[in-house]
Amino acid sequence: MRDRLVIMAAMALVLLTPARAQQPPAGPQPGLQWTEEQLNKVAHHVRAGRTLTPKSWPNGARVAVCLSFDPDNQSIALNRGNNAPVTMSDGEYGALSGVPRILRFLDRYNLPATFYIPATSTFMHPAMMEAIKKSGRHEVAMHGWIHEDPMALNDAEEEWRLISQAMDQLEKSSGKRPTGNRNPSWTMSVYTMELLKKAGLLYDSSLQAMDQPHDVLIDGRSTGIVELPVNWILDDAPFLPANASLPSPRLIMKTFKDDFDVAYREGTLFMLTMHPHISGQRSRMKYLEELVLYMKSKPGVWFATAEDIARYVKQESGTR
Amino acid sequence: MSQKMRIAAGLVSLGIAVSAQQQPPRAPGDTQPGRKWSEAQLKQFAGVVSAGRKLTPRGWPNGARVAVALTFSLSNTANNLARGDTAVVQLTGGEFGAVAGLPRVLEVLDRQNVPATFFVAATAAIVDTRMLPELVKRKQLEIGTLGWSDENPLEINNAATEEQLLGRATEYVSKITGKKPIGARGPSSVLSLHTIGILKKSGFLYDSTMMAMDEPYEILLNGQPSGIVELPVSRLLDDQPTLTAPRFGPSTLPSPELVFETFRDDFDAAYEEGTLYLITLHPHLIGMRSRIQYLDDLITYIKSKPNVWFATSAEIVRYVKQQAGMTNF
Repeated sequence: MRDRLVIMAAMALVLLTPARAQQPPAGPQPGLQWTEEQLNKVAHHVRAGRTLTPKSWPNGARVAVCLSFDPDNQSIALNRGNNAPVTMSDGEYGALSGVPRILRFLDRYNLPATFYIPATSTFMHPAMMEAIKKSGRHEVAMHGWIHEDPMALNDAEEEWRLISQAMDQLEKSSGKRPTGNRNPSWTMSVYTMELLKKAGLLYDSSLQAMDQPHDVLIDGRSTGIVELPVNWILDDAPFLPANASLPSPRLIMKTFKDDFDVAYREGTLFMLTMHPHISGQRSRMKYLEELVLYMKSKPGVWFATAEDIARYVKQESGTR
Repeated sequence: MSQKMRIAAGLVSLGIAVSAQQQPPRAPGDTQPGRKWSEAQLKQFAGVVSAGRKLTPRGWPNGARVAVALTFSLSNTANNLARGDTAVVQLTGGEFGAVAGLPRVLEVLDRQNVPATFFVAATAAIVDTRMLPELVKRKQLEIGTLGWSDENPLEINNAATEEQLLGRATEYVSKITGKKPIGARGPSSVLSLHTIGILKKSGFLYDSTMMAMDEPYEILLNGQPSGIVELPVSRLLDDQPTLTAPRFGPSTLPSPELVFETFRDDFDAAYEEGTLYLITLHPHLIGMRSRIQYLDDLITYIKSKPNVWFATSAEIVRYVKQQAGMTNF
C-alpha cells in the first residue's frame, strides 16, 4: 500500500516537471528558464544517496571486482525492426563465438561473472543460455526485454509490461528469479527507478554518479536499491568495435588496468562492462586475460558476481 | 558494429519495409516495433538468413592447423560510380587502388608466393582494364564477385534487380577471366534478404560477407540448410574502418602498427583454436606506402608458424564441403 502511494506520488511529480527534461518545449535550451525549484526537481529526481562501500570486503579483501557481460546479440536490431542478414550475423556472433570463448576463459580461471541478458536473447539462442548456466558460478540478471530504450518509450505502463515479462522469461530460462538490473540502452525513463523498486530488485547497475556502491534516492528518499555504478570508460562498446573510437585492445586494457589500480588503492569497486560480440573476439580476449592475470597477481582482490557484492554491501550497511 | 551504423542500418530497413510477408506488424512511427513481437515472430524475422552448422573440419589438408585466406575487395571507385558521384578528386582516390595499390599488393603476394582471393566489382574492372588480366595470369589467385558496382543491395531491395546486377557482373567477370566465379562478397559489405537465395540459384558455392562466427559455417535460409558456405569476415580484420584515409571517410585507428598488432593477435588465437583466419584488405588502402610493409611482415609472421595452409577461399570452401559430406549441393 505504502509502495503504491509512493509510486503515485512520484508519478504525479514526474508528470509535473521532469517530463520536460525528456521532451523539451520549443526552445533548444529550455533549462535556462527553469527556477531553482524546478532545476532541483529535475536534477534530483533520481540521484546518488550515501556511499555503501563497506569497511572491508569479505576475507579482508581490499577491492571487489565484477566482470559483467551484456550479451545483447541481435536484440538491438530486432527491436528496431532490422533483420538485415549482415547485421543479424554480427549479433549472432555474440551467442555463437563470443559467449563460448568467454565462458572457456572464465572456467580456466574459475571466475564468477554477471550476465545482463536481454530476455529475448535467451530464447533466440537457448544453447548460449544453457552454457552460461552450466558452471553454476555466474549470475543472470536483467537487461530489458529486447534491449529497448525506455527513455525513448517514455511510457510507464509499457515499461512495466516489458520489465515484468523480462523477469518472468529470465526466471523461466535461468531457473532463478533475477535480483539485479542493468537498464537496456543505458537509459532510464523518469519512471524506471520506481518500477525497479516495485519489481523488488536488490540492485541496479546503470548509473554513474560515483565509482563505488551507493544507495539510490528518488525525490530525496532512500529506495534501498543498491547501485553498483558503471562508467562508459570502463565499457568496451565505445572503443573496441572496428569503427569505434580507439579499437586497440592493448591501449584500452591499459586504461582498464590504470582504473583498477586506483580502485585497489581506494578500496572500492571495479565494475567492468563488456559485450560478448566485442570482447569475445579473438584479438580482444588476449588482453582481457592479461588484465585478469594482473588483478589476480595482487593480494586481496575479491572477484564476485554483482549480486554477491550487492548483498554484502547491503548487509554491512544495514540498509533496509 | 557501432551504434551509428546500427541506427543507419535500422533506418534503411525502416524505409524499405522489408518484404511484407517477412515483416511482423508495426505501428506507424513506432521506432521500437520489435518489443511487441512474439517469440515466434522474432524467430521467423531473425531467421530469414542465419548461421547453421559449423564446418571447421577435424583437420586441414596435410595436417595443417589453420587455414589462412587473404582476401581483397577490389572496389576502387565502384561505389562512387554507383552513387553517381563523379567528383574528380574522390575518383582519383579510388583509381589509386588500380594504378598504385594493386601492383604493390601483387608484388608482395608474388614474392611471398601465397594464394589470395580478389572480390571484384565489375565496374572497377571496366574503368581500369589492366587489373583483371594481371590477376588472371597468376594461377594462385581466385576471382570472386563484389556486385556490379559495389552497390547497396539493402537499399535496392528488389530481388529481380539484384539478380540482374549479379548476372551482369558474373557475365562480365567470366568473359574477361574465362572462368565463372563461385564466390561472392556482398557489395558494400551488405546482403539483402534475397541475396543468398539468388547466389544459390546462380550456382555460387559460397559467400564471404557475414560474421556470425569466426569459422566456416553453412547458411540457413528460413531455417533450412542452403548448401551455401559462409567464410565469415570480421570488421576487426578489415583495413576499411581503421585505416581508411580521410578522403574516403573517417578512420578510427590510422596506425597500421596498431591495426596489424590486432591482425597478428587474432591470427595467434585462430592458430590456437585451429579454425579459419580470413582478412579483408583493399588495395587502395593497404597499397599505400606506409601500410604495405605491414602486410609483408604479417605474411612472414604467419609463415614462421608450422602447419599453416594458405589457400584461396574457393579451395577452403571445396575442402570443408567435402569434409562435411555436402556433396548433394
